[in-house]
Amino acid sequence: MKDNTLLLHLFYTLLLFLGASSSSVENGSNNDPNNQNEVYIVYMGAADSSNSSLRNDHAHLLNLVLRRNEKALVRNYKHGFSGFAARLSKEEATSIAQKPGVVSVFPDPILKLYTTRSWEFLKYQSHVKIDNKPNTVSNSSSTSDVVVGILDTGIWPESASFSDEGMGPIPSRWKGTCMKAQDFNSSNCNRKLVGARYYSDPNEEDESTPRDSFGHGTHVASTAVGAAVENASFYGLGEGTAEGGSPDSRLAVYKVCSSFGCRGSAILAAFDDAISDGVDILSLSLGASPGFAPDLTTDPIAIGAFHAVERGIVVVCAAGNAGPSPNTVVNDAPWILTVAASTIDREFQSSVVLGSTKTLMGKGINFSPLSNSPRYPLIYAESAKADTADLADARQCHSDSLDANRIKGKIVVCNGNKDEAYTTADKVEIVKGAGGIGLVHITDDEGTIASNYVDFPTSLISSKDGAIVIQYINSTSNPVATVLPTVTVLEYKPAPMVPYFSSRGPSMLSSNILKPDIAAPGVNILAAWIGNSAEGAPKGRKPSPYKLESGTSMATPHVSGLASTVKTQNPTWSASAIKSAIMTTAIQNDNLKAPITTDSESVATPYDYGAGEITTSEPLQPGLVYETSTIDYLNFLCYVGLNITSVKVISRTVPDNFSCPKDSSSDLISNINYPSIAVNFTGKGIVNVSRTVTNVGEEDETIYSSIVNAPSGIKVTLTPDKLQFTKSTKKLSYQVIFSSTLISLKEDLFGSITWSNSKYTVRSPFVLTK
Amino acid sequence: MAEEKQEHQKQPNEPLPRSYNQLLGTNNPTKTSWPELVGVTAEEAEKKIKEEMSGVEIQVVPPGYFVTADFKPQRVRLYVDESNKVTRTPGIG
Repeated sequence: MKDNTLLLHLFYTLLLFLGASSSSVENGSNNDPNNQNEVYIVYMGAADSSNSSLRNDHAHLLNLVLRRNEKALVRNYKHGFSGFAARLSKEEATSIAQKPGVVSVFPDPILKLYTTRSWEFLKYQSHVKIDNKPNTVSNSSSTSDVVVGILDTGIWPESASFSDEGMGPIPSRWKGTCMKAQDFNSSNCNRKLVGARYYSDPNEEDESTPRDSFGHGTHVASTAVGAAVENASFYGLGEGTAEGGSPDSRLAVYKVCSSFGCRGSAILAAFDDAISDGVDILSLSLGASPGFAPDLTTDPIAIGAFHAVERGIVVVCAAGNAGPSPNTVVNDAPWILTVAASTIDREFQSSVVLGSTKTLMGKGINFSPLSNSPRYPLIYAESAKADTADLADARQCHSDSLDANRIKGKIVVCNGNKDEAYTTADKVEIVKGAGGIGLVHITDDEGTIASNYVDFPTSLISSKDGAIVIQYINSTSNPVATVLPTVTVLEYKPAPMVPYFSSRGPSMLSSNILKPDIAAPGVNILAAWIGNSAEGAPKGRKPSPYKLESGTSMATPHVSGLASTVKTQNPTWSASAIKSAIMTTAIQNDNLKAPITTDSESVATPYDYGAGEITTSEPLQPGLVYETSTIDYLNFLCYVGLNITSVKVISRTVPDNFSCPKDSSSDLISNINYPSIAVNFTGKGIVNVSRTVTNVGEEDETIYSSIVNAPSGIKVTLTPDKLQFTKSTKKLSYQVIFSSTLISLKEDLFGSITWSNSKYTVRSPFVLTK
Repeated sequence: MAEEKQEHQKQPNEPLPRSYNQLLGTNNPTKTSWPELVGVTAEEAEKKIKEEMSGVEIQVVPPGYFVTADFKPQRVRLYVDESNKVTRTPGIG
């Protein structure tokens, strides 16, 4: 008995011991402070030159980190550039930042548990038709081997826009892959969608799939490279053939965005993979908020883009939507092609027909079920004021201001006001809630974006037309009207215009680089959408496979599609040559043959649209190109104040004897071989910059002469003023001398320099800053 | 950029004006912003904005995240820090 008891005791003791150990192992990872550390990105500049192994200092640092905590590593960057993302303590991070070979260390936070998590699918409005694809000069094949990589919310592969019909085999050099997930597999990729990657976010496990659950990624991808899809429309609006900028090109998708946004470490990883996979163009309709954008050495987009451009990849990014205030442009590093938005000549008109048979053309998207004849009672909201409400509130249809008894069954006319927080959509809900059957909103303020009011008859009319409506209501004891369903109207004038939201220059990085670079259609653009969202669908209708969206997000893939076409035509061109071709062939006039304006009717400047609005054929044969080299970009880093050690670590193509130019100053930025020119002029009296152009035309022997468009008070001299190219002379340089008797400028002044021969016109805008 | 940090002069007993476009003197559509919500939690900010703009779509953006550049007049983004407090003046888009 005693022995058994002893044995039992031993047994229980053993159990307890084991139990205690296992629970500590279970809780170990939670209690282990190492795994509660924040994630930091350690950026180490250039990748190893052999491309298959880590740099020694990179490997050494990894060892150090892993020895302290073997679970620390989150990501390793080793293809396009060097670095890693790892869980580090603050002390470790600080210590690593001092080590040789490290350019910067910055946090990539893991979120604490958030109770608020709302990303509701947004209401989509307006119809947009994609513009015709750029004309290819040679119409030989219907396939291009150029691969456009999109960093965004993923892809909806079933969309007709990603059909691979007529496409040739996948280029053998392509190293990308089609990642699997529970709702995505290799059958979703094809000769069009040649790659699909996703980057898991510990904050959002459901999004571990290349599949798009938002729509944005699908939309921009189809705008860049979507196949031609006939009869695409948004429930009949904007009907036409939806087609991308380069429908023959291939698509590789990198899903870096989810409900919260697009995580920095994922963006870096996507750049690293895209470079290794072999993309030719990268398109990012993403950005930071202006004023809070990170420094160059801690900005994943700037860092990734630098290394991509170093390898010949064109990187196209959105300028941001924080306009119209100046200095709001983001993604403005000189190696990035920064894109602003513009409107197109299509409007979505929803009209109001009065009982007096007068018709007023209003704006907005609605699928009104009302009759076309004006037989519905019409009331001015002011006359339906609730007893306890303010007259001003009632007039504007604010919450709780209307008497439902007087509103019921009527079309309601409401005033808009610049100061109110109510949008038309808010008022639709209020009028609907009071029993109204339609809304006529008098407002000059809703701008160019056509909002979707779905089934509720809604029309936005100007204050001028509003006065006519009110006058009519007062003229009869029984005013009646109707609201017509929206129709698409083409050849709207003026177009293009720069919409208010498009971010503006000058650049906060340096006023000596003119940003944005270019403008492209970004308002009410029709493109592919996800297949499972009923948002914005009229009653009883299925989800529309094509939707209308606005933003510099939409403008960006127009330019990446164009870049893809240029690259297909000219496969050996550098990234900067392609960028130059797009910029020097841009136009500055609208369809009234007048200078492009903003939507507030002021004449637009290069701070609004860069070199101008893209053209689609001319960039294929630009005549001359401005090539910007990696040395130019490294000089830029020197001029903005990075020390030479950091610069050397960043670029692998830096020659050993590279050093920052003597007397590096921000003024020297103006001398970088950029297709546009920006110089600081105040206090100078005379400023001199140089540029070098390369002849890419078919004729080796050609002479270009120059025309200068100078602002008043400024003298602009070109030396030489003629460029004579020959078979052996493909590159020529010229000096631009700006001089003036003015000591200082009252404001920034714009002008342009144009080189032309009998065939080509090569235009560079310039700005003189005060 | 400076405009983003501008605050209105508070008049006694009057609500803060919601649009700062008047300051810029432009003819642009109402771009509503809520400078007084900087520093409050995302939950509170969402609640306050919904009181004024009932149909709003809220997106909470953590530090280190970038955002898609689509412009949605019915959306307001709340940029927050690690403790979920709003760090920048929320505005529509």
